[in-house]
Amino acid sequence: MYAFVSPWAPSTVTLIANYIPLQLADGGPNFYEFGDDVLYEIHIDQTGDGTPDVSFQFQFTTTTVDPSTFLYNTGPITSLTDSTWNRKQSYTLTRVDHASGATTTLGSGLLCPPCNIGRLSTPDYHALGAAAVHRFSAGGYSGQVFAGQRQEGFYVDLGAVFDLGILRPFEQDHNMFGLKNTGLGRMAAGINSTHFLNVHSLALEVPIEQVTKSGGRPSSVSASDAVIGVWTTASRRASIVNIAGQGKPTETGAYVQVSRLGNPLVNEVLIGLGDKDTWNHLPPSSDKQFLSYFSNPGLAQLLPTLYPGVFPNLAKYNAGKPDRADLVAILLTGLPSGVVPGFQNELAASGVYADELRLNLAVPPAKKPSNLGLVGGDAAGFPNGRRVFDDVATIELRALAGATLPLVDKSYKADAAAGEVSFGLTDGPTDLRAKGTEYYNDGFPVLGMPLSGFEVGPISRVVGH
Amino acid sequence: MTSATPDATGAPENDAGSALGRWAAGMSRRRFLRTGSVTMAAAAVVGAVPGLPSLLGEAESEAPGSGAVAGAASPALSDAAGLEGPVTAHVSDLSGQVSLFVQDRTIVVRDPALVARLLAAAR
Repeated sequence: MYAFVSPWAPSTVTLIANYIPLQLADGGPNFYEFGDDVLYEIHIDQTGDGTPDVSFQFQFTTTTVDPSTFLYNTGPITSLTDSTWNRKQSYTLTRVDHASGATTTLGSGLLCPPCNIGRLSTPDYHALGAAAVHRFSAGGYSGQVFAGQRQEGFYVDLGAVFDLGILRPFEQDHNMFGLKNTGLGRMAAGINSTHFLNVHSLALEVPIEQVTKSGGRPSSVSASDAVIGVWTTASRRASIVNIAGQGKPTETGAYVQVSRLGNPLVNEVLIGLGDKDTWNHLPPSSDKQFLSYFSNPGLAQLLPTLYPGVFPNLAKYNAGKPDRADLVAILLTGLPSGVVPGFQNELAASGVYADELRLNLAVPPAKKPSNLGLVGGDAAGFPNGRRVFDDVATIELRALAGATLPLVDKSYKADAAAGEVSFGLTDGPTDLRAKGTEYYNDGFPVLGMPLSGFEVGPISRVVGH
Repeated sequence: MTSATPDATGAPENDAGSALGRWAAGMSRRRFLRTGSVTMAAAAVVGAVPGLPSLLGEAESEAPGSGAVAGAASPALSDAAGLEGPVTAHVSDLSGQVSLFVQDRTIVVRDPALVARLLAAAR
């Protein structure tokens, strides 16, 4: 989930929800597509109660032109309506205003682009992608929308962090669990796990006043309508019954939420395995029951153990009664005024803790962005919303390591390593392309053209090739 | 109308009538939960939403917009003519409540007698 004031049009906000990650570009013949049986939504909380005030709904319809062939395309696809594209996908975009119950169809029959197959099948993919950017104007609302395949823009070293938390730039400090001759133990650059991979993206750009509580543009950072909370959900029918010989499931009933995402890595790294399914079925307003995962996260406890002697202050803090109010503020309530001079993105009704990506819409786009966002002195970046190039994995790792704890506990002195720990995927805070492994557009829909299956085979993903 | 007696495992009282009472005597709540809930899908059968309560006989509908019709005559399948799509019924416990999934709607109905019939058929 991404949310930021659009640098190319600062009177608008861009919201991006990505689904179906880690796509191999050559993953055919059944190439990736949105689910017709899924209700995708991007929600806006304007009051801090953890429930949506505005939702943007995406519902897809897939058409198989020639059911007798296994082919995704029967010739070059030169337009979104080309008869050679055998699996056309379109969608309806609906705005729901929950207070009034009003629903507004912002667009229907909106065409998706195909997946980027290769030089013969999608010879001018740039044109196909551009044709899939749709402007809409309906019911007093306007904006532009895109839904389809893009190049993944999130960068992270999955292979390292999920190999018992060994970060390549700090291998020499890892405890290695007593293993010998691992070949590890030297400093190394991180490896971007998402390099050469695609994703499916729901991107929306709308005027700021169409998502604020007041219906206007916030006059200042401290204005009561300045902050919104954003998250995405996917829902499926209440009942899915598979009957032998029927060929496809019988799906009935109202939509039921089955997944959600607000702040990055909350679902993946903070919520415990036993609670993940429950968490994914609940709205942010229910997050109080998961508070301990934020106030005393497991990874913060693990870091001093995985890296002995590197985080002595964190180890001492952990041995007491950890109460990470910094993480709770960053992820569940927003940062109140007075913590970071001239900034706040607090949005929380009394007693409500809600995992939402909070964005202060009065903060203009940065002229010289830092991929470290707020901790890098750039208030236009995470955790004030999230831009595609924000190094959120490093930011959250540093926060978990205690770098942000002094914001709320003046007696705590962060370990030096907390401000240095990194996934090693950038050349520094001003590197907005993750060592050249990421490609973004300067304008909507932001994420770059997807990699083509012909050009990117599995061999290219092997390190060193 | 008889009333089933709560068993030691905490099965709730109900006014389901003799069918459910007999059934409940053979299956405690704990056993029920261990066995799992019962879901039944019927292809293109009973009920679109507007006419559904009347098709449920003694249903006490708890669904918004679908009124209770206690005492209504037993419906016939022909009453469902013109209704489209399958209906899936989900019984999760012995409370006499059944969730009906039809088209894009979910209707929760309290009908112990219907639940008893469904569970008896599932044995």
